[in-house]
Amino acid sequence: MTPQLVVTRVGRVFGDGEPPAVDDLSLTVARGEIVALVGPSGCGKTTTLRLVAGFERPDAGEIRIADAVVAIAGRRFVPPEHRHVGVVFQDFALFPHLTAGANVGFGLPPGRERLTRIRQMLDLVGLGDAADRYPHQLSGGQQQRVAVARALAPAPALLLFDEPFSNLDADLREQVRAVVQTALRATGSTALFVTHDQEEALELGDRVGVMARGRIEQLGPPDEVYHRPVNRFVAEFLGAAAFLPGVVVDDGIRTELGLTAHPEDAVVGSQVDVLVRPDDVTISPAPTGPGVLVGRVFRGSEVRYTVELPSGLRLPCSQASATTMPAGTRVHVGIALHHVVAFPRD
Amino acid sequence: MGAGSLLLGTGLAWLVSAYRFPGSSLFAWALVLPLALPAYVMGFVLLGFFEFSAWLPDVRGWWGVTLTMTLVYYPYVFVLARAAFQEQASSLMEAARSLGRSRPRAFLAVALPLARPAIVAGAALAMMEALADLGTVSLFGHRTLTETVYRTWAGMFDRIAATQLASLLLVGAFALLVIERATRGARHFLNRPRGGRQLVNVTLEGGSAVAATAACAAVLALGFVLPVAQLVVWAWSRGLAAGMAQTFTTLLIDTAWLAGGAAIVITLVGLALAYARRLDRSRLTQLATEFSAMGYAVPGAVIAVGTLGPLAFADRALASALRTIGVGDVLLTGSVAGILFAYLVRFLAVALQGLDAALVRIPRSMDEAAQSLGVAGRRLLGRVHLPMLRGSLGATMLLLWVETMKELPATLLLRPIGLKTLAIEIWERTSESLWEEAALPALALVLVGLIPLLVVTRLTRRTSG
Repeated sequence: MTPQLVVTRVGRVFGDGEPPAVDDLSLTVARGEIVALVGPSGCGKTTTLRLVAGFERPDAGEIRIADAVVAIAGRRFVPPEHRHVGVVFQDFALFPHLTAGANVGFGLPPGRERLTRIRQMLDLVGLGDAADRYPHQLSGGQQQRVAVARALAPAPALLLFDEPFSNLDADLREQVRAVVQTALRATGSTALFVTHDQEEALELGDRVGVMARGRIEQLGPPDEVYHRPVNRFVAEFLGAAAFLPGVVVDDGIRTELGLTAHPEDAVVGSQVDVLVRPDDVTISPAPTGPGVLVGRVFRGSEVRYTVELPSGLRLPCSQASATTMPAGTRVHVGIALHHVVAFPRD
Repeated sequence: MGAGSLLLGTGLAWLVSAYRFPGSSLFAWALVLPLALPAYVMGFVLLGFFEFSAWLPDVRGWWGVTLTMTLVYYPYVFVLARAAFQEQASSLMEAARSLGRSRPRAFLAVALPLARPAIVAGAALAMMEALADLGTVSLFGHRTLTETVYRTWAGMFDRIAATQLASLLLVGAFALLVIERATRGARHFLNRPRGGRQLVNVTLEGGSAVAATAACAAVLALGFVLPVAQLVVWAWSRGLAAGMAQTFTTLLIDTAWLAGGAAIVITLVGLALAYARRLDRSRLTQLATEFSAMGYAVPGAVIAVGTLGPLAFADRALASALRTIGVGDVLLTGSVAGILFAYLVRFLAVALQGLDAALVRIPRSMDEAAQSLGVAGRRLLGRVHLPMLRGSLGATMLLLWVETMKELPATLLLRPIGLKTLAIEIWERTSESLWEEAALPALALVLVGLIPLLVVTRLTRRTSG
């Protein structure tokens, strides 16, 4: 695994006395890998991206792109035009005075191959016939695809995406995302995505980094960060989550809903909260059941119920939508945990 | 002149929008100050200045005129170019840089072409204004101040030369606009990407910072500080004789009243027209309002001459009507009403533009919301639109007040006998080469001219900060 981007202990502070926007952050992206950074607004993910692109100077740490040191705090700073980095912006940033073709060719040297390359890139994003059109004549999705083609055209060492799909409608988003993913794989590109949409991050990234307060809380494959979050923040950020109180005993964790499997490294006798995702909870209607359905949201393929337990604790529960139960139904509640994740009680 | 203000305005605008250097935020608004100096004031100051200091190299003549006019008119380009640069999302420049362009090359490839319509519009505006000044010379039967100034200046500016220069300017400004439109083609410039952040300032250091500060300071000094200082010196050396203070006060009051009346009338008519345009989207209404704004491009002297005809006609009609009911003759010509009408023709565009822009910003959904709540028609105007327009109405009136105060040729021709304004006082004094006596009214005009500039800067600061 050759690293294409190495960020080492980078920091960035915007104002005196303000908390750092990026705080001692380290990150490695392998060649051909797609990493998605996700986090709430203000977590420093966009600043991280801008530091890598060269739009911001780090106050601490070092950044390498394809074995070249592009920034060492206070000592070395390679300007963005010499970093061989392609950037796709949230607002697309297409040059409105240039055609789609000229936009794609903007970063290419003049010559006969320029036109071939423009054509090739536009074909790659499925816009072969739009070369002569101006950005305002294209739809939002098409504009975004031109922006991707423009960033890919000079074959950059690294592609950076800043909230690339947030300006698109939901259905369009899916479609453009698929085009982008195909284009990235086809060109073997290395890419760093930044998004606040956890579904997008889980879907796009070979690895997902969850950020908060300028740091990466957890970095790993999507299933790992989703199913084995290292803390409550990561657990809650990546999807609906509830915490079921319990006590660690010899053969597992005793909870309101029975005994779970034994978690890794837990001290017997300690108080913990067990992470419960909606798909971990099973319910079946029973007039004498302990749980009551207090909420129901129909979501197409599934129904998301909220179940209230005798203790007052509420758990989310997703069920296939073929048969639905009205709110107020009494149910039996069980949990089927594939991985037991428990956090010490505060 | 056009080229000069183009280069100066654009260069300075880029400097203050994209870089940070000692004094840059001060220069960002101070460089607009030369707008407060009417061209004829600037002209006579420089003229007097050169007369007094014979040891200076002789820059009179063609270069002198060009330099003066550039210094007076570059702010039009500066203001519009700066606004255009500020509107550009920084992501565009960042995109250009990530695609391998250095900062200066990214400026040439992206920022400059994007700001082109604004820059060209600014240059055209500057040339139109210059034309209005020069045009006075040729199209007027009188010896006007502008004429005197330019004539004394070079000895080469006779009426024919001025006519030629004026037509050249008009053709030039027009050609500039046409070429700009033609080359624009299908491109879209006002395509501000959504949610983009503004241009990020780069801090200049060392020599380049000093150079940037020096360049801005030099322009500011030549275009504003030195002329105003000269005026102050003259006004001081003349002293304040007791009798003069008396006439000066009358002068101020008369000017303020006349300009105030004009501002109110023009704003009301402008509001009516702008509102008509919003309510009735028919071709005819749109065209009629466009047409009514054309007076702004016509020199004041031409308007004065042009309004004499209709006024005389109205006088005759009025006279016969009044005679039938047994009232004596009332003349519009040479009355305050006559001059107000001329101002209306000349400056209606100012009101229309400002109010139109403000009305456009009120979304139609707002009208619909009000209507669905049972408020419509005149009550819609009173309860929704007027409160929202209050700021723009005030600003428009202020602007008109200052503009009419500075207006010279039409005032000169149409004023009621005995009425004097600051501009006329300046004209009368300078045509007798009494620079010092003209200094005080000129200073007063400059001070008044500063008001809208300061108000506008404060407003823009508030919205951008």
